[in-house]
Amino acid sequence: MTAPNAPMSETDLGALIDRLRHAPGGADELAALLPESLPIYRNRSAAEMGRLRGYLLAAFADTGVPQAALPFVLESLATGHVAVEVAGAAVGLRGLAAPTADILAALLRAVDNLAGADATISFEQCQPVWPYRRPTTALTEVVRTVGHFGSRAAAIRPQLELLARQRERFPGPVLKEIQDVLDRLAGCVPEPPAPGHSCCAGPALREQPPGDTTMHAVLEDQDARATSFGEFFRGRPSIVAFFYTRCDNPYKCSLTISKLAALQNRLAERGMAGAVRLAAITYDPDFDLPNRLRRYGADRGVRFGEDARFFRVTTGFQEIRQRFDLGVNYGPSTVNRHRSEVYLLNDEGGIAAAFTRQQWDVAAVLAAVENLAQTSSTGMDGPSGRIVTVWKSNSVSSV
Amino acid sequence: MQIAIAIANPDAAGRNYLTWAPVRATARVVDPVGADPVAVTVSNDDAQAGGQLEFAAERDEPRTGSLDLTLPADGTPVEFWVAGVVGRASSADGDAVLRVANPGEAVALTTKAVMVRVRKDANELGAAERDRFTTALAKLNDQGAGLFQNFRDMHRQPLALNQAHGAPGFLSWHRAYLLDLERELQRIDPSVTLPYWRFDRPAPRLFAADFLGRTGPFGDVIFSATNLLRQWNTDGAPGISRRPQFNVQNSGAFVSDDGTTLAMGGLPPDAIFDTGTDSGGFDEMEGDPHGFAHTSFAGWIRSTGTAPRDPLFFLLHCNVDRLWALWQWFNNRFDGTLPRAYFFRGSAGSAVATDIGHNLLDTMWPWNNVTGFPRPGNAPRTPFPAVPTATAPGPAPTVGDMIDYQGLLNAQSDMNFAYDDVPYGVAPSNPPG
Amino acid sequence: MSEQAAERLEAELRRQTDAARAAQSRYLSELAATAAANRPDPGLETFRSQPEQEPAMAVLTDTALPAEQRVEVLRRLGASLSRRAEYIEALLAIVRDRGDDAAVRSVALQTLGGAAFQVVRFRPHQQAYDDVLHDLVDDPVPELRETAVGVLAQQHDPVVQATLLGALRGDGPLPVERERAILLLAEDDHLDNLPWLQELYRNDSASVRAEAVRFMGSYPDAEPTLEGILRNKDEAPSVRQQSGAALRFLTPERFEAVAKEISTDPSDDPDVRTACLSALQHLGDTDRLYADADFVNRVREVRGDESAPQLAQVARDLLAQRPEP
Repeated sequence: MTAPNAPMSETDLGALIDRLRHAPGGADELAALLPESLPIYRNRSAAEMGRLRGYLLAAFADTGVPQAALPFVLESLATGHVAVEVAGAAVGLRGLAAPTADILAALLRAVDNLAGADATISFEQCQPVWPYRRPTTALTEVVRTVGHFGSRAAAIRPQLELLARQRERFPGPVLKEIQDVLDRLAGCVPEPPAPGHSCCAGPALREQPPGDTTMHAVLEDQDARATSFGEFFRGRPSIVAFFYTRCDNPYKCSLTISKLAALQNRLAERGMAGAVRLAAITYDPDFDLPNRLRRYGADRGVRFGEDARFFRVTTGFQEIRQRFDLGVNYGPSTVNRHRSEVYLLNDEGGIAAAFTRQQWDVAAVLAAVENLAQTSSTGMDGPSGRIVTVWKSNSVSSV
Repeated sequence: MQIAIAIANPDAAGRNYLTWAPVRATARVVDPVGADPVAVTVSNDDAQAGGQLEFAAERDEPRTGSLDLTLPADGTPVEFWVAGVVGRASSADGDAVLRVANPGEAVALTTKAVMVRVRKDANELGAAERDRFTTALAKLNDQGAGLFQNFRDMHRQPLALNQAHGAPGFLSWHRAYLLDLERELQRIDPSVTLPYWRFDRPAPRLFAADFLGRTGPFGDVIFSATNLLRQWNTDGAPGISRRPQFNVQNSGAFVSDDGTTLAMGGLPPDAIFDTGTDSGGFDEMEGDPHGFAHTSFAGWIRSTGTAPRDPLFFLLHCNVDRLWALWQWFNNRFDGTLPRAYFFRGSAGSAVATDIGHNLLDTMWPWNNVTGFPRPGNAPRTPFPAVPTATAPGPAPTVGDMIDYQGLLNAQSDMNFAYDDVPYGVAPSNPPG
Repeated sequence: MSEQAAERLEAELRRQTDAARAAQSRYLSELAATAAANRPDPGLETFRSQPEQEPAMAVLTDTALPAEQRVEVLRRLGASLSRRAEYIEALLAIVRDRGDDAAVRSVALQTLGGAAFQVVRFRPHQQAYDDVLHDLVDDPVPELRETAVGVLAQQHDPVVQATLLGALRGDGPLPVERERAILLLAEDDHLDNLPWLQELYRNDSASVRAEAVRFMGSYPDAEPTLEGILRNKDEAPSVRQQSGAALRFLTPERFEAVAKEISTDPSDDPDVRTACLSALQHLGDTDRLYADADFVNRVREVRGDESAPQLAQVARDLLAQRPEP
């Protein structure tokens, strides 16, 4: 199915989700609605996006969870900071019979992330009205999903027991849910989680489209110096992250840039500081003026220089958005949702590797850089001189 | 004949900033006349105006307004100790002037201008002091582009808030937080300190357009044309949201008074900081007056996640810290290793421990640069800033490091801050510990 | 401090703390007497407490007693009461009870707000507290509604945002004044607030217009509007000054150009001129400022203008701080 392009009210989109959850083939059609960059998500507020995401993910409990949807589910569990979204991801996972190890890890991660962020939510309808008829909480749903997996969740029993002992941390009903799960686990034969990784399913990277004019996009850096995309990103490999300074999700942009600074240090330790450029490009060029870019990076440990710069795109942002197929969309005032995305570019500015949607790992990016260096030196480039690679590891996806 | 005076821990420009804690100084003859020792008197150059100093020959001796020294002709320095006089703090940089003269003579052989720099009641600040503070704070904020946003970000997300609230490390963490901010302000203007808001009393001069803003009819916080705080910006939004729920002209906030607060945890000599249970310790003041001071307003300061967006937050907490300092003086509670000064005296891995960051030996986030659950994902301020005027508390202070802030037990612990109405030392009738 | 002064201070603190203890002791005795004089609530055996807290809860939860008496329990003992889980539940119940006295409910809510600052200790109750706040959004008592809506909006709570937005569009009653609703939504710059703020700017009250302009400072699309307001000599000076701050945040270079004009325009409002010049003096690229010889010359003309003494002083300070060539 192709996701609808025409504007839809939140109510109508909720109704569509309701139809699809009971329709044959609904799982794949729901999965097609997941990419945040779809036109149907344009001009919605961030709050609306959170509600829709939660409601959409929860629907997979009825349809089963197709492979294509798993990276989105894990993203919301591991990096979601809005209770309804995390709850939806947890509920949706009950469309699986057995979890993989990374699903169990993501559920535990969600428990930590929900510290101080849990809230009463409801999936009785897409836009529930307070007081809810069927209230629940994100923590409750996360724990219930662990219980749903039964013996297949035995591997995380020690962590659950630790949580059960933290009586000052959780409200009584959540503690009771945890104890119920532990009681069920005590009575069953433990089974291992399902094999494989759930995070990395998804299409291969896109080839650079023909007629691409990205190289001419005009960038302004944190010191208000202008350059072009081609001028900065050609000549040497580079790592580029996308972010914006008004991101209020602590597990996304702020953490991404902090890790970028850590990556910068690791490159310097290996003597690769000048060999690989570092950059970050803002999703929000009208607001993220140079002084804001500088402050944001410096606060998180980035050391700016000729080979480490933050940019806003003053001309050609739509081309860049298209080229990278950025996982971002916009409300009336600013970004309404985005995924975590970091890219390794080769020395012609082509995308060599993508680390998107899941929490990316500094070590994995370093490994990709080293692999790119080796590949380049052995002349294994494609005929156009570009490399398009999909990396299969815990930290990488290309969705 | 010239006499050279050197006072320990000057800043990069050679200026000295003193509190009530004694600081080592030396005097020596620079160009002797003859071989005989030189008798001099060290005193205040003007006993009526400016900050006042007092002196002693040894660190722990009683201090006096003048001190006689005998200086060897060969230029060997003679040690003495100098501190500010409680109740006679400076109001401007360099207005406390030390003079050296021959005994009984009016003409000074040398003078040295210093500042007796302590934290004061915000409602009592002079106009110039107030303006220096608001200007420095506004510059630190730099309309959202400045370092202030880091301080705001330290007190925002749940994991960050865990490091500092609802457990006994609350006071130590916030003492470090305030000192960190104050040191950044002093990089901008070394004459500035954080003032405190006496929330149990009316403070009409604080809630005025020339200071932290007057609240208009619709909750708009109004600043005068020259008050740079009108450029305030946090989280990408200009201005301040604050509506007092009490009459700021004639009333304090809905809090207990100083006497009630100081009585929490018991009276001397049995006063206890925290009991390891729900109640019974001085740390209960986190609820009242601290929590009640916050909730005496509508607006950002009413909620933990948004409170530091309002600069009033730092003056509120300065008074909280002042109350702790006063309690410490009153009860002689400067030794964190003793049960009554701190209950959880181990570390987070100890047999008897509380939440991480709240045990005496735990280092404190963010200055310790420890990230990842249960600590937050990044550390906006790390390490704790070093300053020339003090070696304490070090780059990654522990909860316990913040207790002996004036260096009573260990001179190296002196952090170079004090309160105008909290003396150095301990209350006279208190036994140790 | 002299020994005598220290002794006097200690004596004074002793007097204060002794008086506080005595007052507390008297009050607790009164509480115990009041609690004993009334029929005990059978639910109280659930309160495992220190002796003074059980009578406090008896008085607090007795709706037959005068509201002032119950409020006093909260003012004097609320902080210590709210350190215990079972008492927090009782406080939540009081706030939820629409049949109870409004003043008692309001102070109970304030007490809970103070308890919420003890983040780690309060964590198991946070969600229940948020639920009670949601319940208050349509409470008959305006003060409770305003407090709840304010706290939730500042947290960018999606439930209250949906309620406010729907009500502004005519779908349901507004829980607070329309102006307040718009400003509370504006606390979240990820919403489509600019059209509402533009509506608010048409308000008769300068205070309201100043707030509208303040929040416009989060939206680059508002830059032309903000510049227009800053230049508008018919607008209240307070609103213009706020507009200047917002414009400077969005586009410092544009603000600099406009502020240079306004600050040296003798026909313009002195306070607006002063605010502009003060911002130029202390913030931004002062090197570039001082390199603008034409501007510096215009500032020289201002420094002696005794009809605007504050402005003249700022001008003198600015010139005095100019680096030596």
